[in-house]
Amino acid sequence: MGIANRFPWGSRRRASRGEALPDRLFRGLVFGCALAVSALLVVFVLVLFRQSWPTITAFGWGFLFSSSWNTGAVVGSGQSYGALPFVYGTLVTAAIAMLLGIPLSIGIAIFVSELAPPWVKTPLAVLVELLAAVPSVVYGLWGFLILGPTMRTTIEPPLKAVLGWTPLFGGPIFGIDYLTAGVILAIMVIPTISAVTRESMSAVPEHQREAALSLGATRWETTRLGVLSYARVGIFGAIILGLGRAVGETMAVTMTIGNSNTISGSLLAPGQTIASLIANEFGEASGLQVSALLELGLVLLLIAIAINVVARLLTRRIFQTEATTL
Amino acid sequence: MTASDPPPNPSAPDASMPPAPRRSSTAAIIAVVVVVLIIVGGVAVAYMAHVGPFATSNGGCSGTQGTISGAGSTFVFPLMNAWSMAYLSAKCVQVNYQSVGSGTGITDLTSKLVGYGASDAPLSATQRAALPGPAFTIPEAAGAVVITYNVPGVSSGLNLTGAIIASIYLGAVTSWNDSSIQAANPHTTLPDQAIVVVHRSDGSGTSFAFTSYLSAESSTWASTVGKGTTVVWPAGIGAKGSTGVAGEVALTTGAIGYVELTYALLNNIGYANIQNPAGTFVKANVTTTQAAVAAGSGSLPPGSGDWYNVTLLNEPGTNTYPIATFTYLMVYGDLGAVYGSDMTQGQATQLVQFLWWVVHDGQATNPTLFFVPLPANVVSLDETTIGQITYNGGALTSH
Repeated sequence: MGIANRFPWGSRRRASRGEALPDRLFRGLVFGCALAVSALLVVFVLVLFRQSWPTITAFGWGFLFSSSWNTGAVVGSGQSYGALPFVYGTLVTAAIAMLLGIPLSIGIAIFVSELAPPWVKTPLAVLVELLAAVPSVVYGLWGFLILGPTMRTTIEPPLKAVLGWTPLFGGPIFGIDYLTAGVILAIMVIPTISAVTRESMSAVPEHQREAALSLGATRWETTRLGVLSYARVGIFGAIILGLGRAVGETMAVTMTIGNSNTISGSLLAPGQTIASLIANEFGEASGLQVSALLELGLVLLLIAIAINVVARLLTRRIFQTEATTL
Repeated sequence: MTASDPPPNPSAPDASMPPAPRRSSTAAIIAVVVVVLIIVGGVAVAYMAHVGPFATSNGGCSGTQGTISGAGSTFVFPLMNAWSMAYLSAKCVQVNYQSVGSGTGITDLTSKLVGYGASDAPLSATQRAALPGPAFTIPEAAGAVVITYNVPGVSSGLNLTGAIIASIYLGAVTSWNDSSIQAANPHTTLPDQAIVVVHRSDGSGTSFAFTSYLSAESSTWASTVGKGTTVVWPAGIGAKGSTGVAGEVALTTGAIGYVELTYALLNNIGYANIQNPAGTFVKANVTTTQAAVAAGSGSLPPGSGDWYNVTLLNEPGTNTYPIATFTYLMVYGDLGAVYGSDMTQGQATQLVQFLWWVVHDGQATNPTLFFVPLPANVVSLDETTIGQITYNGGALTSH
């Protein structure tokens, strides 16, 4: 019996006609829930689009490629807004977070799911997942008070000494910069990525491991061939969830990135992400600036949607290649 | 593997897995119920504490006589909060103030969501044009902006001039032992320490006063950066809120930042003496700020006039602190014409009575929170302004 016959669409639809009243009520209720969420997303996009219309018409596509963010403080100068420094900051910090967070998270997941003795397993898993329960403003405070100064005094000087010749680690050291924000984000995405990765690894049937072991594979080979490759779709999903969090995180980033509306090639320079800019400026914004901030919100939403769509397409690719190799 | 096996999809439960034990779903339901109960309970307790039989702050009122709503400046929030509590116990009228920021306060006033807006920066021509009716400007307190610093070996008493501060914030002066800073501090040994410029990242009335001062002090600043609640900062890192700036300065060796006097005094952090036009290096406190307010409030426009260029910067006097600023309330001149049926004449009367109370009885609260009380001439200007607020052309009883 294939999976398709377990949930035959036709028979389910037919069943709905003869359903009991509670069933129909329940169906209506959950359908309403699902509909409300989709409607909310549509409303989000529409409202953001409408509110950002003034800057869309004023700057057009140039908004995405301009790095000017001028609220017109200089007497006689016009206002001009561009998204580039913030899109750049968002992508750079998310990239650092992924670079540091993915190996750590998968390492944790492998240890917990495959190697740890049972008495370590549960406490460790719970501890890692507790990281997800820490409010982001607490991460921000910790980043601002502890991580930032530590980065400035003990981590960034050696980094600069060794890698200072690359543009990535040039310039003066602030301690509150792209790198620090990326490190905070990495810590914040670890619980998400490692928990979902661990779940997908636990879902790998035991016979996969047994098969690998029976062929004489080592522990590492078993994990790599039997478990990791089997769970890769789940792991990929975990990474995308983590990326979603990294791209949208506001509070912790605002407190650690230095909030400078500029683009800098150096990771040791202060920058700004879309979310942190909105958090910083929305309170005192007026007129065209509000519209520009809302357009940035729209851009962020589109980035998030793009990540999800790409993730979905890639997952399907993985599925298809697997289906043909099976 | 046979073709009928399901594809390896870990997110779908594997057929070979045992069904989840029933116990865990019961536990989940209990957990959800507990969480919901905690939330509902918390909300109920908060509600009861606010309006119910356990309410503590209604000062013996058997029920509030009405509600006044305002929004705006975060800087003035501590003062507004104290006023709100004092006013409730004195007059049984609830003042709801939303500390959403000066810009949003003006926007809320423009869209008639609130009875008054509070802003640290006066209305600009653009903001004025967007209002549905003429609005009055009522200064309700004054404060000073101080320059905080973190220079090793110089814990207090650093002297700075407007020109030096502008050069630092322009990114032109980058080291603490720069000859210009040394010239202002002949008896101090300044370290060869890089300057880390810290500014506000959020829009702020403090930034407005500070950049107005720098524009007055430096023509380069005026022509390249200008003044505003947010500007294009040529150098440095941004920190959110006064707390953020003060924290960043405290944590970063070589840092310089600016916060309101209130904040520096409440947190006991060091700040520089600034040279005033008389040539003296003055330390900011309530007295030297009061001197600036007294000197600067001689020729103020009427409440209905344009306040955009009103400043308390660089006022004359040997003991006058050069970076002082008013904070303002904005109210429509004719409440009936603007709000229509959304504000009755009774509510309008309550609003003007509150404004009258703020500029009189309320001023006693100012020094306790390190705000400067209004001098008598500004109080009398405000009295005239409040007296001119009407309801469909008819006068309102403000006191």
